[in-house]
Order: sequence, then structure tokens, then C-alpha cells
Amino acid sequence: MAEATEILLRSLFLGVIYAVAAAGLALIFGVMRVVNAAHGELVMLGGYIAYLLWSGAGFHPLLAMAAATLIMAGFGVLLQRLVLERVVGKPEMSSLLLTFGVSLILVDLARGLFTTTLRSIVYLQEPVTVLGVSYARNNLITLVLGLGVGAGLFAFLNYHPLGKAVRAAAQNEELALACGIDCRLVRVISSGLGAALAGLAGTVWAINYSLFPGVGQNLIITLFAIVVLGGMGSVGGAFLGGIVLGLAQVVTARYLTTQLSLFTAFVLLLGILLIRPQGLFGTGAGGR
Amino acid sequence: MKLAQKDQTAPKAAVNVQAMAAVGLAAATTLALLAVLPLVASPYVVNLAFRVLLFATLALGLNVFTGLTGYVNFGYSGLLGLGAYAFAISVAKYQQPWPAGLLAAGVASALFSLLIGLPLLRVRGVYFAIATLGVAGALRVLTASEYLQDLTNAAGGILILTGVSLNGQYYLMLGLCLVSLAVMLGLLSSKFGLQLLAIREDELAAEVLGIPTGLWKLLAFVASGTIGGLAGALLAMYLTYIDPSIVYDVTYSLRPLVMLLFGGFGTLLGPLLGAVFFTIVSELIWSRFLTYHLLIFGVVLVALVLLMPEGVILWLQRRGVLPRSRLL
Repeated sequence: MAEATEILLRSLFLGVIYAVAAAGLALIFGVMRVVNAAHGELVMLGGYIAYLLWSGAGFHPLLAMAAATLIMAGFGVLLQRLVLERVVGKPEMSSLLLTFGVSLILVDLARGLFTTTLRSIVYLQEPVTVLGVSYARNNLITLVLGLGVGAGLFAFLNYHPLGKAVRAAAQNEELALACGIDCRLVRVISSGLGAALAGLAGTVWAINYSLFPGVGQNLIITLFAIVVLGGMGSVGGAFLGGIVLGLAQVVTARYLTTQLSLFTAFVLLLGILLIRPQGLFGTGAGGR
Repeated sequence: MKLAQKDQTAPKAAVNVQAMAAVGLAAATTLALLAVLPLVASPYVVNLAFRVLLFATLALGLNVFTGLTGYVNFGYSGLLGLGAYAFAISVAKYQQPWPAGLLAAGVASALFSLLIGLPLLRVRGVYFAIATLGVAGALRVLTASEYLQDLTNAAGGILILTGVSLNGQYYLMLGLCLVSLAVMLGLLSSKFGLQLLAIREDELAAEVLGIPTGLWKLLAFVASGTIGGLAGALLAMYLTYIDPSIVYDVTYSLRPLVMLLFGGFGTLLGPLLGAVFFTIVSELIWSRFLTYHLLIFGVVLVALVLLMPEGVILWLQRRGVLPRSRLL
């Protein structure tokens, strides 16, 4: 029982970070039909911004998190206006190649600016005991924060007029336009929100794990797996998919080896693509 | 109607003979130059030429499948790594001569492409691209894992000594590149190649016209994978030491793709132009900006998608600089 609780908790600690980042990726895909291969780099960048604010400017970690999230939202808006808008409506392949180029640029810039030294934000590392197993306090904060963000996102998309507009534009752009929704604005909002979620996930990552310029490159395949698992473009699916993948990786790391936890993501990705390409919650034809 | 057509084609045919003679001459000259290169050039130039030929082969190999069918393979490095490891294991571990190693690499990559292609080719578009990315990642992680320690030496890597000289390796690479070129030329001038192009333009329409799309895609995928595996084997021979981070490096997926994008999907000379251009530019950049060479690649990729998505060959054809032939 204690072991099951521990595995569940550890899966949730990892899963909510995945969930927050993957929700951003799903949002961008859902609204713009842009497969954002640079999403891992947005996570990495958000983490570094928070790290710099914390270590350089002496910000409180939570304040640094808020600031990094806002800055990444601005970055997402810029990215959409300058680059992504040009491939909206084009084949999904060109957006994948384009954002792959963006990701290379960001990784190499990070390598030059931040060097390859491992960085992390030290925050609430004191242990706390839950049911006889001790965890770092920041793990619990992460869980609360992640679930809170998930609930907020759910409320925004379901009840706020702007959130409803985002869903409408994702479901049928022409009809949304006919209903008077400014789809261009919706694209700007969803890109900003997607990048903000990535920035938030990056900060949480920097608190729980460590940052290096290639962290996004390792993360992106996991994020793709999650988004495919949940159904491309389904934000709720991505959130749940993140937690499922966290569980799968924690179980693999515990009973097999940590090396294979990335392998689990690949196997899950391939399995889902072959059995149910539209994902658990997707409605599209899944590219068939 | 038939007569009129004949009259029109007669003078054109004469021009074509002239053009063909010019093309033949140019090809023969290039081939002769490539053949004598190791005898006159310094080892540095031969090394550079080897890398140009390696990437030309990879770009052509990718073209056979991705260029013709439009299914983007983001995991070409997986096949390269597989071929490299098949070669290394048979040469270093089982003490086989290098030709047997090449055979093993070819067979392993062909079989693997067949096995993975059967389920993978059922998904399309970005789903296929993401899945291939996953396959390459899975191969890399599996090769580096402790479960295959006995076979692959995990992250420790394998030392391969074949005793083939640099010039010998150069000629092998040249041979593979020419074979890939011949395959591509054969495809572009055959009905089979045209049917693959039809899949790229509209798969549903192709299927309705009676093209066995599933089988055709699989054949192209296996041919492409075999070329990648053989190129990986020659790369392993050239490097003399391989480990998972070297041969499964994502740049072996990325660079051929950018070269192909630059040259144009489904063109014959495009991948060659891309390989020559990018390898030499990379060489110049690499020696000056060690840290920022990927950044420059990224900028080029972004610029290509936004400004010249059809590739340099089609771009020049549209402007009348090059003749509108499918065989370019």
C-alpha cells in the first residue's frame, strides 16, 4: 500500500510538469495546426529565465516563476506574429520543419549564453514525510501548482468567453470567423498561453530537476508522445496524457532501469499511433 | 492528331540529343575528376570529399522515400546507427571481413525497415514524422541500455579496425553514392517512380487509380532504409570508433533533410547540390564558429521553409534557368 502510494505520488510529481508543458503544445496545435517542435526549447528558456531572475536578481522562486511565465507569454506572442503566422494554413509538415529550425536556433543560443553547466533553482528542498516515505517539499508544491494550473485552464477554456473562442477556433475556423470571432487574435492568445505554460513548466522543472541547453530536446519526444496519447489538439487529453506518461516512466524507472524510462515514452507513442492514432480523447481522423 | 504530334517532336528530339550529349559529357567529366581525386589531392580534401559523398548518399537515400512519397522520415539517423552497429558488431565482435560487415549492415537495415515500415506506414503526415522520430530515439536508447551490453557494449562504444585505407573508404563511399544516384535515376524515369510521386500528390487519388500504395511505399521505405544502413556502415568504417551518441546523432536525420529541402523533394540533382553546398559551408562555419553551427543550420531551415519551400531546382526551373525536366 505504501509502495503504491509512493509510486502514485512520484508519478504525479513528474506527470503534472509534463501535463502543464503538453497542454501548451496541444493548445498551439489545436488552434493553429502548427506542430511546435520548439516547445521543449520554450520550456528550457522559461526555466533559464526564472533561474537568472532567482540567482542574478535575487527574486523569490515563486516570483521568478510568475515573471518567467509572463516573459514567455510575450515570447510566444512574438513567435506567433513573426514566424508561426506565416505557416498557418500550410501543410503541417512545413510547420514541423520550421519550428524544428527555431528549436535549433534556441538550443545553440542557450549553449552560447548559459553554457552547458547544470543549473537548478534551490527552493524548499527540506524533506517532508507522507505515509512513511520522505519527499522534498518542492515536490508537493509542484503537485498543488500543477493541478491548480490544470483546473484554471479547464475553467478558462470552458467558461471564459475568450477560452470558448479558442475552442471554437480550434474546432472550426470558418464557422468561428462567421460567428465574429477574431481568429488571428485567438492564435496570438493561444500561442502566448501555450508558451506561458511551457515557461511555467520550465521553472518547475528547474526547481525539481536541473536545466541544461539540451533539456528541451530530451523533453520534446516525451511531449509529442503525450499529445499523441491524449489526441492531437486536445488540451484536456494532453493533461491526462502527461500524468499517464509520468506514471509509465516512474514505473519503468523503478522496476527496470532509469535508462529505459525514455524508451517507455517511445513505445507508448508508437503503440498509440498504431492502435488509436486519434488518441484517447481526439476526435480527428488521426492522419488516416 | 498523331501526325501533328510527330512534327512537333521531331526538332525537339534533335535538341534533346544535343542536351543529352552535354549532360553525358558533364557527368563523365565529374566522374573522372572524382575517380582521380584521391591520387592528386591532400588527405584533408579526401576527408572532406568523403563527407560530401556521405551526405550526398544520405540525402539521395532519404529522397528515394521522403522525396518521392512526401512522407517525411525524421528518424533517418536510426537506420544509419543500425547499419553502423550491424557493421561494427560483425567486424569487431565476430571477426568477419569488412565485406561481410557491409552485407550484414545492408540486410539488417533492410529487414528493420521492412518490420518497422509495415505498421508505421499506416499513419500519415506529421503522425508519421513523429513516429519515425520515436523509432530513432528508441533505437538509440536501446543500443545504449544495459540489456544489450553484451552485443553493443552499451555506451562504451565499439572500436572497429578494418585496415581499409582512406582512399579505399573514399572509393567505397563513391560507389554507394553512385548506386543511390542510379536508383534515383531509375525511379524518376520509371512508372514505379511516377506512381510514388502520385502518392505524394494525392494518396487517395493514387489508390483509386489502382496503385498499390501500401506496398509501393513499403518498397521505397526499405530501399531508402538500406541505403541509410549501408552509409552508416561506411561511416563506422571511416570513424573506426562508434558509440550511440555518435551514430544516432540527430544531425544525421536533420542534415540530409535540410539538404533535400534545399535541393527539392523528388529531384535528382537537388540532394547532390544540397550535400555539396551544406557540407562545404558547414566546413567553413565549423572551423570558425564552433558553438554556433547548429544555429546557422536552424536559420537556414527557417529561411528555406519560408522563402523557398519548393527547393532550388524547382525554383530555378520556374525562372527558366534550368530546363523543365523531371530528370534534373
